[in-house]
Amino acid sequence: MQLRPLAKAVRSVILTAGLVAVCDGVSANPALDRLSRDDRNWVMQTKDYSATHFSRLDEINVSNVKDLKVAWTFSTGTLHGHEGGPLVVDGIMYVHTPFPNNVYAIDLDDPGKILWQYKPKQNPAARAVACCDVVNRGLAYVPAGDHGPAKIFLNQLDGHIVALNAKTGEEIWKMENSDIRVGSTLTGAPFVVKDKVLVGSAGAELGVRGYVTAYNIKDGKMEWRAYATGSDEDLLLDPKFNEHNPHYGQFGLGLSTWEGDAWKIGGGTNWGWYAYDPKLDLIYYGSGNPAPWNETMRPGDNKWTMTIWARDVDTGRAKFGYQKTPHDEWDYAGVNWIGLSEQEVDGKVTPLLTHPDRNGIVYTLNRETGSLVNAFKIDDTVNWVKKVDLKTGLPIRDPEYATRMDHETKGICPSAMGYHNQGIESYDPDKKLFFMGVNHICMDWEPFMLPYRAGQFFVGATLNMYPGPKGTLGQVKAMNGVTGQMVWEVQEKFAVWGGTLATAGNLVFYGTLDGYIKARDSRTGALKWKFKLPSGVIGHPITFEHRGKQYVAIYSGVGGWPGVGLVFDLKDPSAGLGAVGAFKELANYTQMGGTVFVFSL
Amino acid sequence: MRLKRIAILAFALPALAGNAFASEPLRVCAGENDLPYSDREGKGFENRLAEWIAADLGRPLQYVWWQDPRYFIRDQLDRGLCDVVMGVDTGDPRMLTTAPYYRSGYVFVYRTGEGMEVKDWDSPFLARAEKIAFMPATPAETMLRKIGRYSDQFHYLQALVDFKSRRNQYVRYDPERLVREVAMKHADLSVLWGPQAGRYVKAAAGALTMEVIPDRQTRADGERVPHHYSTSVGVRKDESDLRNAIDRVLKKRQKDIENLLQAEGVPLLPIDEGKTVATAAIRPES
Repeated sequence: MQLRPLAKAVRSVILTAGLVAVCDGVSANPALDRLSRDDRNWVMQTKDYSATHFSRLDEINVSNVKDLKVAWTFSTGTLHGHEGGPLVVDGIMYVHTPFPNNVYAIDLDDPGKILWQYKPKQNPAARAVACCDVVNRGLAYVPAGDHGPAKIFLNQLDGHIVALNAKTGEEIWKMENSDIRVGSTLTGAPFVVKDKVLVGSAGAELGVRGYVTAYNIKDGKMEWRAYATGSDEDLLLDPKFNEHNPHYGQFGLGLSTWEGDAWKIGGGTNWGWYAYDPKLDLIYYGSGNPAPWNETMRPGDNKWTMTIWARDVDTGRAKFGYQKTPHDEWDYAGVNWIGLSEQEVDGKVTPLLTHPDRNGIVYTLNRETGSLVNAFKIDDTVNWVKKVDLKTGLPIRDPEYATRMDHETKGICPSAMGYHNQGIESYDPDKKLFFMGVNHICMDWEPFMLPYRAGQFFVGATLNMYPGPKGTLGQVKAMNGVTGQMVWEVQEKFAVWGGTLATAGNLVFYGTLDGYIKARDSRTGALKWKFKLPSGVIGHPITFEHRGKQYVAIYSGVGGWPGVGLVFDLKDPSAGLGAVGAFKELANYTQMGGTVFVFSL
Repeated sequence: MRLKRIAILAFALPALAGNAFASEPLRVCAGENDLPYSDREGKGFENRLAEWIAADLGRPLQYVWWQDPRYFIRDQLDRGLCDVVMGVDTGDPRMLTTAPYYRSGYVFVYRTGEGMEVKDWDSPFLARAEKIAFMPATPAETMLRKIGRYSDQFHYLQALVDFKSRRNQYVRYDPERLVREVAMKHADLSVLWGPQAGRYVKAAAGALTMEVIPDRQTRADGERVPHHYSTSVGVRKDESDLRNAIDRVLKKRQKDIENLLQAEGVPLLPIDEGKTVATAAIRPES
């Protein structure tokens, strides 16, 4: 009994080292990279630098997953939406919460006891400024090294990044990254590469100018900051920016595609995830929507919002940038997850990045050059765009679904929430398949600028969201990112907001908004196991191994945009062919409350 | 009293000869919690005006209340749930508006006798003021952005509504609170629409000074930012008979209205000042 799991642990480590060839660990943070390839751990939100969210562990597999049981649980003591997932490093689990952003360390040998806890004091104004519930997408970890002891990095809603001692929870340094007084908050997870920790920004709804910043992990010193709008210098464009694809646009556009000074409040924040290729030494992420929402107020392409970026880690210089939705009219914030893979394109193994965008298009790019390999609809009901012209990179829009002032455009798919939002997806390198939690939500949208009296104006947009044409709010799909082929797809009554976990046990795990964690056969989509959690899920499942036993962990805790904002946004219950009721129904299935659930056989 | 009302009725009826339902209620859309303009208890100065218009038209007054000022023109007036709206900008393109019955301006409100003088946006005191209370989405916001005092007031602006998020919902900024902030020395200055401030400044009995801001402001890019606006009564676009009837009432009641507004403490400007820039009032700020 004792021997078997041990042997298995060893095997999984060897397998991992042998098969995951994406990361060479040449110049990444080598110790972190090594940890991320040991499947007993889960050291970053994305699992590894390629953001595969895939584990070689197979003790839990398609034939025995039906026997999965709760091993232990932990209350986070916090309401509101629990996005992201816990981290597991060397026998310790690190748990984070939404605002007030508490952190707990739990010893896996004795999960009944909290090792340490960190409870920051934050400015309450942060709550008012946060657009879509007070979520936080998780922690980052770096092992001990030249920079000092092992650290946990926490982004706080009030705009601070904090480095904690991973052993004691003591605060080592703290920096202000975002100024809530101008409406900027922090909800994304930090990301450690080399001796730097990357921190994004949030708050584009309030006219914030987005940026990504690299801080030194040792003392928090700012190394570089790259904006999404403004001058080439502020954007940190490399002299060879977009040299392989000059038609994407090159220089001067961060100013010239805006009217006047509008770029100063132009949005383009990034509160999603990062990926990193150690061989090319490039980081990848997406910048979000332009501000304000109301498109009439910002003529132009609004570069470089809605852009897939590739930047040099040491300098922040951008090697390429591809804008997916020029002059956004629908809030299709392009911050979504980017997964890296090596796949054959035209008979040649090519380094790729794949990005399921909010706008309903999946983009696969050559991640060395930025060239488009494919861009296809994640679902055939996407209607704002007819297709993406792969030569020009431009979306061919359907004018029927354009939005304009004081005009209510009906039946736009996807909705402002996107067919894909903040979920972290998974990539099984053996099957060459991406597993995607997909929203299936459409909308009516009416931008307005309503005079009240004496020059007072209410500016915004009225949104009604409702289930898409297939009648449910969510789907799960297995997808080939090169060909665009969907190998299987299933409907979910409610959205799958948090993303998926894939394992070598031929399994894909995910949580649903109404509070189920489910496991499906990753080859066929067949449902193999489900368990009802106390509250809905908007985070992502992870897996790890402790003392020879495989575990699956997930946050239960509904909220976020779908859980709170959406229900709140709806004004007219009769809208959308009466389907608006479907959202309200969520309250009949689940209520708020944060818990960590851990399962094993 | 009784005689007088009958006389008014007799006078009003011929004016509405084309309308077979002259005794139908005059339905007025008004905010149920929008003081000093209106409230359900009738304590607003526009409650008074609505009563006079209904009386002079010989129609019983019926209120149709709204809670959210963003949509009532579209969802109530346009859909025929009410007929009349008090206190709209003259020339609001969504309605047919009467001739203006008063004109006023945005004002600075500050404590009297502390040696400060704020007459325009270039006052040095504006750079020194610690906290500035103001209505968001008004010319006050545009100008505070211009002089670089918006972002450092952001936190305070949120505090004025107890940190309620304004996303996709109407959050009311209470003008009484904005003025009280200055009286209680929480803020050094308040900037808002004069008619909204009048009664609260008046209630402070001299402790507060109200200064109408000159109407010569421009944005950083040179675009005009109007600070003086004319106010009318609005009706649906196809109701010119009703509009004309109300215009006659307003003309007849001109002195009463002036007394009402003066008693309210509304700073009044000459109505003909607005003739040349009447349409500018409708231009949105960005």
